[in-house]
Amino acid sequence: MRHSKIFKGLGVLAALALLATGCSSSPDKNDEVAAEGLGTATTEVAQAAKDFQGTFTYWIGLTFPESSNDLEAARIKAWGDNLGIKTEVIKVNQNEVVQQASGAIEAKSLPTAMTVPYDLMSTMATGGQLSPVPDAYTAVGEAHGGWLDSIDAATKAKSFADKIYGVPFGFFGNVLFSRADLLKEKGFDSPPKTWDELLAQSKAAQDPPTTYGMGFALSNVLDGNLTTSMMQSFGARVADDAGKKCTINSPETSTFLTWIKGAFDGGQFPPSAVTWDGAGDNNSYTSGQSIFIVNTGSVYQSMKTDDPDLAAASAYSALPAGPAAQVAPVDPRYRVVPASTSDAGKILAQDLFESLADDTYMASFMENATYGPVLKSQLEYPVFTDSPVHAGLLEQAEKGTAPAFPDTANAAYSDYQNAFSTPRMVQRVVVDKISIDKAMAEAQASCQTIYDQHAG
Amino acid sequence: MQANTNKAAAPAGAPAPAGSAGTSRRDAARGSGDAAGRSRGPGSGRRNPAVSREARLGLLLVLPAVAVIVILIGYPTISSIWYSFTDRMVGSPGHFIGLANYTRLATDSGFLSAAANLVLIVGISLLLKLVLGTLVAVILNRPMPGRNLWRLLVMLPWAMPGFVAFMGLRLMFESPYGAINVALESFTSPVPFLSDPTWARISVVLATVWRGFPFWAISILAALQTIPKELYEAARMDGASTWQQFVNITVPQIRSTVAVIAVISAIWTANGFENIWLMTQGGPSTTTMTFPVLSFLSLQSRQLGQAAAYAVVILPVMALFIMLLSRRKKEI
Repeated sequence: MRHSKIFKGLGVLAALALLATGCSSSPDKNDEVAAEGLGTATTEVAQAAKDFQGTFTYWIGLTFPESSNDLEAARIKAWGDNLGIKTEVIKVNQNEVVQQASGAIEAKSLPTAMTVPYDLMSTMATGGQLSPVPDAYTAVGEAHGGWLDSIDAATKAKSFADKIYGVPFGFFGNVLFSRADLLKEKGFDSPPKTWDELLAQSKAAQDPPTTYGMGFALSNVLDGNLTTSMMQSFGARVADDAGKKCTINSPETSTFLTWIKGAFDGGQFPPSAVTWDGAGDNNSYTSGQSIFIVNTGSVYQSMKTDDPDLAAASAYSALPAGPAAQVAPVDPRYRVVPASTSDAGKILAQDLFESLADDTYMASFMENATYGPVLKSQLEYPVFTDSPVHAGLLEQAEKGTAPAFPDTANAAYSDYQNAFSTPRMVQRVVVDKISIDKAMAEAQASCQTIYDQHAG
Repeated sequence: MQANTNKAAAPAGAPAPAGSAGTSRRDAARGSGDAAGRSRGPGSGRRNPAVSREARLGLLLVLPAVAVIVILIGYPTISSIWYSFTDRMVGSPGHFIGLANYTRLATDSGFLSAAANLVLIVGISLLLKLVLGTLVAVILNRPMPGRNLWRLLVMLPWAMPGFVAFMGLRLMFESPYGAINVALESFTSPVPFLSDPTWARISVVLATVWRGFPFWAISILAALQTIPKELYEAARMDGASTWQQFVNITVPQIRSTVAVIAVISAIWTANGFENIWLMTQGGPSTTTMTFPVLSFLSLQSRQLGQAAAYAVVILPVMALFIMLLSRRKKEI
């Protein structure tokens, strides 16, 4: 009896040891990549490391899959260990970064450095909450073949008043996922080039209530802001060129609303699209409910492992064009330094940004995370030819439109988007059945309130 | 009545604690009470040092509680009210803009919908929780095998984290592949539980009731257990039916408890965020919009002033609930 207990105990210990070995294999691999290229610090950085008080806190924006986040955390830790400073990595859900940052701004508890989307960088820069980082931006660009033109233009947008507030590391871009297998059965051999083509394909291939054509969120979530790009591709604008006066109430917006109402009333959207949460469109596609969705690539990463057949049966292409233009905005992600960071922290943060741009590390990071390239050296990463979604992102890097285009990218535009203003206007038309004129007037008024607050 | 009794029972000449039961506030403020009997003599103009010491000690003892209330309740409340009169945004102090944030509400479809839902969703939820809670409490108050286990199981919806509960319910209500639609597949085409305006309201109410009724059931059960059995025995001897016993004994005995629960539950439901946000985000369009969700949406675009106005505008209703609650507590 006693021996049996001892054997059982040894068995459990052995199992735990095996588990520990298995678990540690990934971090070991991460550690190797994470430590790649970490050399001796310059005198200025070494002095800053000595002067720096406390813990260097870095907020990273969570991406899919988790291994990418782990790799980034390992890289930051390795960088800190190399300089002899304590680091702490906090993983922030990218859907909640605006709320988290807003809370931290009010509580004066922003981290030493952080990653943010373009919109948030814009609002924080306008609010004087970020410290410019021109030297790091130049150094990273020079060390990696230069910045891609679209990224450089977005970073140096007029609204930043000749200052550079962030170092880009990748961009999110919308890729059109389509069920090539179902569309081929109906005689469509290539993905739609325009929204009207998409509507026609959707009508032909869908079979409600089993499958619907247009799996695009129309709800109060970030995915719902796709409707802003659609609206702009119909020639409508959120505001004028000065970025001060809202111009939503226009014949072009009316045309767009008429078009989307026709599609909704015609049963092209799954009815639940008006209340989907952030994962609603993704689930709709992976469950086979939708023929088309727009996604940054995370769905492909998930399908690769969970449903490779669906991944193979799908086509990945650029966003369709509207009657006026093709609007496919790139959404660069930036590493930024809050103005509240100490001087030593600012020097260290910029050194970290240079370290995180290392090509060996970034090639490994982008292998899984679905970011598009921002630097010329990144164009050579194997993932951009091996993965169809990454190839789509590469295409978008060359042909995509600047953030907010054709509108002016500024803090007011960011807050217009953060308030889900366009999908709310669409819901007023397709759900509440109010007239298009009234919906436009309401949206115009709420938009102008936002823009006026920024003007004041 | 009780105050007079206490006063009379206090030994002559014994100092009563300032502000304690049996001593009116005015008396306490004069530094008197029974001690006033001694000070109302020739030296009544002078302060009694012992009483002053006690008063100071009393103040000192309540100071931490007052500080907590001021810091955790007073400051945020007053700040919110002030913000609602400004165009304050995250990271900027803003300017005083008078009632502009409030006048804007009048034309805001979300506000009008939230006001309607304050009556509809809160009112119907309360009614259903009352009926279901009372029914379950009465059943659980009867002898039955495994009664304690049933009581435990009834508490589960209330005990589980709201996030888990409402996400689970959302998945169940999804159309066309949610569990409820799959179960109904043989009988009807998919029901748009979350996307049709009427169904969305019904779904939100059902989810809110499911999560909230255990609190009612357990509270009413506790009240039921305090009713003397003799009352029922006497009624039975008089030939009262079960329904008559329920109406004439049970209902009057639990009425005060139900009133308090109703007020508390109304406050919780009116301020509920996760039930709406996780199920419909206030949609479709503004069909299930509530004030907390409107406030959150304003915070999304960092408009602290507007968000505060949405929160403050509901304060009079909350104050009414709280006044009702205070009155009921006094009655109990």
